[in-house]
Amino acid sequence: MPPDLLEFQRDFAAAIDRPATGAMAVYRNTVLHGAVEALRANYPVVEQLVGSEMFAQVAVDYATECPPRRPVLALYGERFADWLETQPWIADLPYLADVARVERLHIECLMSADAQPLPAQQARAICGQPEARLKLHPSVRFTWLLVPAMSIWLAHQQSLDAELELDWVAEGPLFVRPEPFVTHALHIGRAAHRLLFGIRLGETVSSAMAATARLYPEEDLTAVLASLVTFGVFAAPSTERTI
Amino acid sequence: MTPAAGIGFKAEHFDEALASPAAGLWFEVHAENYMVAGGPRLAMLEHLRRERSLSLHGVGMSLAGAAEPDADHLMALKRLVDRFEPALVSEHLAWSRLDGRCFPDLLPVPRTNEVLTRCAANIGRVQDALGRQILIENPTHYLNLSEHNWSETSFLAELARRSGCGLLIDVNNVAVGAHNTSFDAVAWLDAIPAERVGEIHLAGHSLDAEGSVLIDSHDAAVSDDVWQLYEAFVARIGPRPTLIERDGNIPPFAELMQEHDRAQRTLGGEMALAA
Repeated sequence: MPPDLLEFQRDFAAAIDRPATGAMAVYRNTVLHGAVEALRANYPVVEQLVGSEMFAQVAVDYATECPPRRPVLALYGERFADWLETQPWIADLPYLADVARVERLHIECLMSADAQPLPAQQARAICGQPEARLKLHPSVRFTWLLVPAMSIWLAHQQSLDAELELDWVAEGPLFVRPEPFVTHALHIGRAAHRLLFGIRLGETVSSAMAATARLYPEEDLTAVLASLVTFGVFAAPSTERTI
Repeated sequence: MTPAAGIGFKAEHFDEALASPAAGLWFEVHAENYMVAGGPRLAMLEHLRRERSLSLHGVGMSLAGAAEPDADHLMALKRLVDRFEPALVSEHLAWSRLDGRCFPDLLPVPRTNEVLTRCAANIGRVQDALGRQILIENPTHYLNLSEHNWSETSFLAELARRSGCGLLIDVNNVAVGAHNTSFDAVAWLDAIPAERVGEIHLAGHSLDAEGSVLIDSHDAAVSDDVWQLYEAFVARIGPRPTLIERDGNIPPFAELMQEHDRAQRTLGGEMALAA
């Protein structure tokens, strides 16, 4: 009597999860290697910060605890930053989880849907209307972080020939990809963050601007908004394309 | 598709791939790498398809598992096939998904009647959803499973007969499996029904650290023994689209093209003989 297929698969999966030698080790290594390489591709700055040997160990631990749930590995590692934060050794690297958060935003921006950015002239026309709302470009990813993780990330996009000197302040990363091959990686201040946050929630442009002005009266918000428009942060109406 | 030689597309070769003058050159990609909403990957593939034929090679459908193909994954493949209109679509005789977990590997099954029935039905579901034939690739073997009721070649032939799929014969997988599980690669290739073969894969392999198991590593040039098996196989079955696969230690484009040219000469020679 041949074995039941499901039973065979479950036994095989259990064998992959145990340390092995010979042929089973080939399967075990390939399964782990696939997840580790996907993580390495998505978190290159974390790898630079901890070194490739340590990254490989960390990635094996992560892949063991959070194995892939989808056959598509392009976005594997969704929980990596939160998971890093729970690791006992992270205390020595208090910025690492936030750098991983920045890398996550970057990779999500790269893989997100394409759309035409809103041209400046059209943006001015829309913002002139009292109840106007703007729609974020589908590639826009931003957050606010308590450590200068975006500065660390940006510094690692070029070869580092000197010790990195950082202002240890909170800052926001913003990624936007207005065209398939053009990605902007930007620092944003508190005012831009508040403005984008409100627009993402669906506030009208005027109420988002007013709320931001109350919090940050010293900021030139018209200039902040114009700069966001220039980088393609808002989508032209109904141009989103997904396959 | 004209039975020409193709190579696995790598983003770092994008400009050279577009500019290459090689007649009949085509490109294969792993379908899963393009199952994203947008961005540079899909944009590159759009550029490439305007110049060259494409082949979509899936690695995640888990056709030989007990479960039916995942509905989301199947729809993602269908969107790619509809958008990029590839000349060839292929998958594996393997499983990679179980109880909500995905294994980035192509795992083996015993060749039983149950597996044959389920796998043929799963291939049928994929072909029905895509509205076209797919090719099924023979897996690499590392283990001698004791539960087989079928020889691999008759299993593949029967799978093709029942489901209407074609076969993608990976000659390197045959060579690696023959070494690891002690079968005769020449006899194996001789037993494959020529009319079912729609594509051939060639790749490099390496020895594991202990020096006993050959690994289907795709990180080296195609070995001489695989070239010999390939040339004899093409001499018997006639020219078929042939892919040079390389996934690790990616060499310059020109180096891959040297292997491409060797495969193309083999195919051209056979086409000349047939003419």
